[in-house]
Amino acid sequence: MVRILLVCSAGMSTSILIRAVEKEAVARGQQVSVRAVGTTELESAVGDADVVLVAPQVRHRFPQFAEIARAAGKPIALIEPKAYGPFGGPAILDQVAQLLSGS
Amino acid sequence: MLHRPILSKRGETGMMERLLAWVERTLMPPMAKLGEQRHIRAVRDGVVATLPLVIVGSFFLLIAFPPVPAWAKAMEPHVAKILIPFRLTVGLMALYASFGMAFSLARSYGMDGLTSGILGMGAFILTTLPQNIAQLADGSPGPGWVLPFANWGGQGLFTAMLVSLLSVEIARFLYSRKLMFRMPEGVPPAVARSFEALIPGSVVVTLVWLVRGLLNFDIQSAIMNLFKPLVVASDSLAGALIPILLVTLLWSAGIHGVSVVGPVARPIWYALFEANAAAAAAGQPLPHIVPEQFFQWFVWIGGSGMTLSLVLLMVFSRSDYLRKLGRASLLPGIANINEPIIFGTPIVMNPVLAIPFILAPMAAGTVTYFAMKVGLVGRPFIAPPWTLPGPIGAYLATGGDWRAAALNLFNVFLGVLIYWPFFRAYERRLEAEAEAKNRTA
Repeated sequence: MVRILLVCSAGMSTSILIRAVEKEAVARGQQVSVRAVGTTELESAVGDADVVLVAPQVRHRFPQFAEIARAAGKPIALIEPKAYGPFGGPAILDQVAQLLSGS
Repeated sequence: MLHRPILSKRGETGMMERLLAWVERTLMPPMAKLGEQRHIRAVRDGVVATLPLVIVGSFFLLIAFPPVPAWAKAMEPHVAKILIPFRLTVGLMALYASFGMAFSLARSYGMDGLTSGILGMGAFILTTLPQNIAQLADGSPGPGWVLPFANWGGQGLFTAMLVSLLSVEIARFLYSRKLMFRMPEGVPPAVARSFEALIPGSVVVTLVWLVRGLLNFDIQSAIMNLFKPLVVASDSLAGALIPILLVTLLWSAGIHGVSVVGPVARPIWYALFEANAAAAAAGQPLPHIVPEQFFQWFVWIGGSGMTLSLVLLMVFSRSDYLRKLGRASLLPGIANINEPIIFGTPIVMNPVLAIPFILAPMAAGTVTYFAMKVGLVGRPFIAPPWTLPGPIGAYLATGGDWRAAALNLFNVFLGVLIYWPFFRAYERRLEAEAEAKNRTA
């Protein structure tokens, strides 16, 4: 089971992404759990995640998030703008696989 | 036909591309940096944390003054009682925020949040002089010592901001100079922390008391007067249009505009909002037009850039991709969530769609400003949660003015008209691309 944590401004828009990722995971036969949080909740939620993905609209805060993720020893990356939407499931799961194999 | 030249005339598209490049390279970095500045971040966190209380509290205004005259009549004898939650939430906004701001700033320095938050809140409370009311006007015994909280609402946010953040800075300075009581090993950390805070606490308390109590300098009035010109200037057409321009420019470069502009502007928006709410509670005409609810319910319909209008066009698009994306984004759009549209369409760095993305909200902001200015539509004084559908939110925000719901729908329609030619141009380009792909495949 791969636990994915998505970060956006208020945790609202990424909740749309959750469904896209879960659907793709079912199609691929993978076990994932996806959680969306707002920027202020990252610090308390990062411990329960295997990988952190950051929404493109808060990319100006990425350095700050990267620091939190690094402190927790979790891989972190930015979501490609094009993958950020209801059809972004495949691209995001590919990105997760890449992040986990890289660490 | 407006849409053809935009694609064929090189010059116009080129200019828009240059503008977007300028936003990304020149405008965005300093703005993003400002939004990340730790004091501004602390203000943002502290103010945002009060939002649930403000939303709930402001709804008691609606209960006290319902839009239906018959109900309003029935409520009349109970208004004072119904307004108690409103007075103790919205009316104490600055008090709650003073804790949150100091908490957040302390955490960003790696200091203890709880003791710092309480220190900041204490510093803010000390800017108010308690009064001993032993006897009421009618001769009956009074409540004794009371704290007047007239300046603890939105107008007091500036005082809360300066005083609570300053108290954290003082504590940090003292810690950095090793000016604190150190407890021996083995003392429970919670006890040790409270002793560590003794010296900063005594410095902050003494300082605020010296200025307010001993020198009798009215800190609250001074700070409110200092910020008054800013608040007044924000309640104008320029005050409406400048934030709209900045937010849409930042979003067209892919940055969450409201999360950058909001932290700086929100204390002012709250001050305007609280003044309106207080006027409504007192049964007076509402003084201000441009609290945050102005943007939320009349400009950012469907999300920043008024993208609900674009989504409505996409739902019926000839392009398979746009139609699919539009249908998937319709429900989120009604709840004012639009990231899938902004990144999926995309609007980000898209020189064609960035134009209406900026123009439509500017037009809606202008129309709404004047509609409220001349009294065609009521002004906002209630804070509904931002994920409500636009017309409902507009109706509630204005205390139940159906004309506000109509204006919301009118603005969506206006947005459709403004998006239309640009949308068609973009749709044709996608169609042409899809066709070219089919031919080569």
